[in-house]
Amino acid sequence: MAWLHTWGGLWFCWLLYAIFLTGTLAVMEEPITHWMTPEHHAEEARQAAVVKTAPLADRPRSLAHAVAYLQREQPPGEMWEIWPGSARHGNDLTVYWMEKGAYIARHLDPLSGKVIADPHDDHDAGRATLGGHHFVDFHYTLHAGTIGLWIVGAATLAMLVTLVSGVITHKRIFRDFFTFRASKGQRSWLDGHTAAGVLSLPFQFMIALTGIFFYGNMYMPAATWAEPAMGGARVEASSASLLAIPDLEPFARRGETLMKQDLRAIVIDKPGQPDMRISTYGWNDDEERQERLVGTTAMVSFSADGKVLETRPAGKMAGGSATYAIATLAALHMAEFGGFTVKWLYFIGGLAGTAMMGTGAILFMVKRRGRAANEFGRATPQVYRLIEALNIAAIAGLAVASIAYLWANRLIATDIAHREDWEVGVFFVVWLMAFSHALIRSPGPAWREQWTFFAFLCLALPLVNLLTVGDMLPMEVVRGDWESAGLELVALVCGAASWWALHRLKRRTTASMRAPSVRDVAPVAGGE
Amino acid sequence: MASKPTLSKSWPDVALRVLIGVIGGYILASLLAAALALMLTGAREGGKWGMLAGYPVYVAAIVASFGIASVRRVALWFAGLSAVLLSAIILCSGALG
Amino acid sequence: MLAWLLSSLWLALLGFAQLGLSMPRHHRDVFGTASPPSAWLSRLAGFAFLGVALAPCARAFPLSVAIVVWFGMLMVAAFLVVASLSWRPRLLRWMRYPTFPPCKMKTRDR
Repeated sequence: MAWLHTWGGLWFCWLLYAIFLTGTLAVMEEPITHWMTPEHHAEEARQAAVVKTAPLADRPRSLAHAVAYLQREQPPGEMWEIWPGSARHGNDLTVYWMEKGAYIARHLDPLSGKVIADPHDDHDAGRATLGGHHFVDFHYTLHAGTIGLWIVGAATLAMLVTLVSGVITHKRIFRDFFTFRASKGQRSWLDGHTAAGVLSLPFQFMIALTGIFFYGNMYMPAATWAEPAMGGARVEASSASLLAIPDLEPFARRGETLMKQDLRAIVIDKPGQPDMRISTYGWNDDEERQERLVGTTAMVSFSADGKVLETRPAGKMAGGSATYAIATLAALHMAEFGGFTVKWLYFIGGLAGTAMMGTGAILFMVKRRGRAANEFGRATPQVYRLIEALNIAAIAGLAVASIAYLWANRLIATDIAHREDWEVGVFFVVWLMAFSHALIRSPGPAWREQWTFFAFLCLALPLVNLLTVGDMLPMEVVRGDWESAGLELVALVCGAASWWALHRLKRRTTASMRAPSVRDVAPVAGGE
Repeated sequence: MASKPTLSKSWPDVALRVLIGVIGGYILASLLAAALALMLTGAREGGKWGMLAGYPVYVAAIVASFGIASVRRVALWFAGLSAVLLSAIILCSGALG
Repeated sequence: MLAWLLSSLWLALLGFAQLGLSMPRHHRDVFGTASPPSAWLSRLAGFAFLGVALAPCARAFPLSVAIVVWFGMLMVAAFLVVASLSWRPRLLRWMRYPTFPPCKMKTRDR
């Protein structure tokens, strides 16, 4: 079992560290994106004000325009979808339909019914960036599409196996529950590793297990293969005898009464067919999104002659308990409920997981630095060297690359083509450079230099923001822009922690300078 | 798993455990998922329960392949459980009429 | 909202402090003597506090979300108690249940 924990852990810990650190940052996707698009701050504030004060859209006319457009321009297919907009959510009118398996959208002017450009498509304006989504994407695909999904899936499985075997190997899990012996070399690394894992164990199990279910049917398709084929042959739309689309406003009003929510969208299945089905979907307001694990909205379906076919309250979904269980598990992973309370708790849990991976990786080498275990025969020193370099690049290097990504956002010219790719490029290049640096320098200095660089990048981030965009921390606080201020404060805290750890380390190494063979016993930085 | 593993650290032994755990465990979990999908057919719930149950079983299988002292016993357990699940699948799939 | 969350965190801290102080090693770190007054009572009080910490969460959120928040609070509290035992053990002398508030402190206050 110890073998499984050590080696299963080692071969996946660098990847898992990267998945955990970026996943932790992904929790804060929105604040990061907000900070990375400073040109939109004024626009966001203006829109928030407009939405609150805008007059109610003329919904009957919007709906009529949408239906007229769809009947005129689109062959009656499987599904039409109309988002009429509302007073609280902006006055845009958007229609969607399925065409050859693809989901197509058109934006209409709610007053004239003419096709217009997407009023929210401002990706090219200002600073093109992936923002916080870079971290979201990286933590489950590594920016590598399907191959990345498989790699992350394997790593997740390895994490679950390592967690279980770790708990089994850890014989004094209750007696050592509160034990952390600081400044004791290998002992401290072991205590730190177990404390990080044990104290946050429910979170780690939950996040890994819910993570693997997202693509569970792709990794293990047996269940879907075995399922008996369901559903009859698709009814082909015959344009010969189409029913008229009824006036939608009465449906919208009845839907709102039954749903007890504002109308978000109307979906017409099989428009014009005898079994046409008209469904209304509601909006969850901010409070409701905080209060429910599963963020589905309310829905009511009608037949064309106005009979209620199905009602679904908000937070519930069609299907049985397994369907609901899967939706709940996915919701647990994504932490879109509970507002910033839950986001911060997930952030702390994610950091604990990251620390567990990092300390585990370091512990492997600390154990062997004094006394080689010679697992790799004659190649042992070279393999140890490589593992040490991978540790440095994975742990310190990724931290440097992540903060460098934020620097890139401020320093890359705003009008460059494919700008968002340049930002991600900087992330990967810096990471690669950290790995080369770790290979060239000997481990001790490499750790220290990378953490020093990390501390510098973190502590100077507000300054870069001031010099490039002209915004600064006190101004953000005064404005009440806590998303931007929070990001910079977290960067400052990380920088300060790194600087403090380096400072302590320096004091300790100078104190033990007189001891012989310092190079062998010198503890290696890694934050404490 | 209660017995303290007297795990031999020789490479063939460990490699065999990895192989049995990773591939045998996958087959075991897949068979369980498929069996559940065939047994609980209503609204495709069985397939979903199968998926939900498959992963914990897979993890348990990998851990068990290292927790049980003798590799032979691991292989026998896996083979036995697979046979049970396979017969359940054959019974439920209606292949026997 | 914030008040509910903080009281939940406080209860969880009390709970983990009891559990920690029911162990001779940590009791010695905090009070200097290795024997907790009643390890059994301490442990019972500890688990009770941890359970009660769910209540404030349930006032701030519906139960499903509250349970997630409660788990999070337990995690944060556990980290804080471990950090305190490791670096500032004396902070925890205020938190021992059977003799809390500490009798010694009381006399000194007067």
